[in-house]
Amino acid sequence: MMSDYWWLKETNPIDAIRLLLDGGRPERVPFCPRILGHAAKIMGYRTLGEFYEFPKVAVKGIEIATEMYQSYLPTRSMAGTAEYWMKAWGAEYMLPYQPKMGSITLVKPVVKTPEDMEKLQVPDPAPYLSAMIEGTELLMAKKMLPWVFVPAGWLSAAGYSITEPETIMFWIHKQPDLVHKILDMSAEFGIRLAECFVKKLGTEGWIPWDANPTDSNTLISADMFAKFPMPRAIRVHQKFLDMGCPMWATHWCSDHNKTMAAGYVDKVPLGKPGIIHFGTEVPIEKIVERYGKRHLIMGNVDPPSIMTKSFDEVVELSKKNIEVGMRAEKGYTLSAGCELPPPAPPANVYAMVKACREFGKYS
Amino acid sequence: MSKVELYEKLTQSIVAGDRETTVKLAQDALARGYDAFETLTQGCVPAMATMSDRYDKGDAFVPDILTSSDAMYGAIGVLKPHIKVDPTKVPGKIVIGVVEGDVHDIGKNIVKTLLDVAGFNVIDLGRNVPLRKFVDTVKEQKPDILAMSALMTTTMLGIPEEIQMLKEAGLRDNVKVMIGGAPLSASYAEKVGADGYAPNAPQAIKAAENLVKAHRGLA
Repeated sequence: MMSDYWWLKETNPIDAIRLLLDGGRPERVPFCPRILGHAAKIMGYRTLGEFYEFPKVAVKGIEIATEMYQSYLPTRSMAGTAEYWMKAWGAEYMLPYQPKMGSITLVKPVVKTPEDMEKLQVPDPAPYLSAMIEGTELLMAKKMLPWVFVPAGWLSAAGYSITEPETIMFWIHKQPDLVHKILDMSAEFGIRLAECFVKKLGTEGWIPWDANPTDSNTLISADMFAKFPMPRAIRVHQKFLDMGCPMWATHWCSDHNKTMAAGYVDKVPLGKPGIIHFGTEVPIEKIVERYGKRHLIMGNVDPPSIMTKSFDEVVELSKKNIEVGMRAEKGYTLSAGCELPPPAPPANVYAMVKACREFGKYS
Repeated sequence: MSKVELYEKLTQSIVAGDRETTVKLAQDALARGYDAFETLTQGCVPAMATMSDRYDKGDAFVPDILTSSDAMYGAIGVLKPHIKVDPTKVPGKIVIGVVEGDVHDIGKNIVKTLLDVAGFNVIDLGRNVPLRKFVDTVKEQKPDILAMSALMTTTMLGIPEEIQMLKEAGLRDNVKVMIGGAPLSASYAEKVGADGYAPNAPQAIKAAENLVKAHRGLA
């Protein structure tokens, strides 16, 4: 079924994205949903557990979703993510085998008290990467340009593996030295990840990806962002770029308006260009104005709306996003403002495909 | 230092998140013979109101709220044993929890803290709460409000299910339902038949106060 990519004959995913990154234009705005659990849902899995555990299930789901929605930029395999994000540090986690779980979940962090820090060491990620590498290589073999999650340097990465969000938030004022230490160790882990990934995968055909909801202004100020995660994120991002990876895809999840206004988003290198993806909280107009000349912009239609509104409403929301996004000089792809909701009705996802076709033609 | 000055210092130390000073000032208030309940309501509660306002305006963030709450709990620990609780003055009883499948509870914990501080009787069911447990607890505890949060698009769908389960159990008219969490909105609350919604923790307290009044026929 998958050998004939009939729906990609006009422009395959890599060509479309490369065309955009080279300053060219495909025939129309690409639809680039970050599909994870939704792939498991459309395959009929009752839970997302298998998708997050077994690389072959994840890859199959991504292939089917790609074909079904004719999306240009495939997403990543999540199988094995918990292994190196959480287990490598010694944290306990739960895969999403409960019907309503949307992702992997931290059950027991490594650090709960300052005393726990004394035993903490940066782990070698290599023994924990086998499932991730397997899934990524399968996707690379099919030229699907997978993204590879790099959980390092951000509060969002360390706060769901080394420790918990509430602990790290409390320590920002009460034990700032510990937060600096945790983030430094997390960044060092990111450096080791860069070396492992490049050694195994090379530098082309995949894209390092990260996300930072716990680093958003919903939780911390722009100044806190500059003081704590930003220097570490810069270090990790720069390492991948220095090793030859051409770009990053970063999801600035949730509300980063203050961080953006302070200029701190701009300090985290994404490559020239990189792929930048903000949450719905940041208006697309603002994103295009600020980053349209520098990065490929992923659009940000409100995810809950994709899940709960009508087909026509989703077309309309997508149309508005497309009309603004198309002004971006370095290119634009339509997407949800976060992961596409796993329970989203397939018809509403198709509404976004339809909006790209009808309102996203560059001619 | 006058009583007013001591209460002001207490307020300032909580806002600053200085637990040590807050505890000392609370102890000082008791040593001077000040009423514990008055010290709490006039010295401590205004601090959390200040923090709520600052959060609403984008001048305070979660680390600030958490450190102020920590200082506040320090004062409560000193003052509470000396407060004679009059159950009729408790502003409301709330069952709160994060819905099944979801373990993101930092927002719920902040709401719980602010509700505690505001004097509500809060029954915290924690996170990843089975929908049946909400129903059973509402039946047993007869709260004014059932407050549920969800941070994921997968788990937010548990909220309409819960409301339906309350209806089927004949409990829906006995309790107000309040919801919150990143993917939720006022329009979603209305769509699924919730009675209240708040976009953040400070506004959740205001919403809870209004819902209790409505529940008790005082609105």
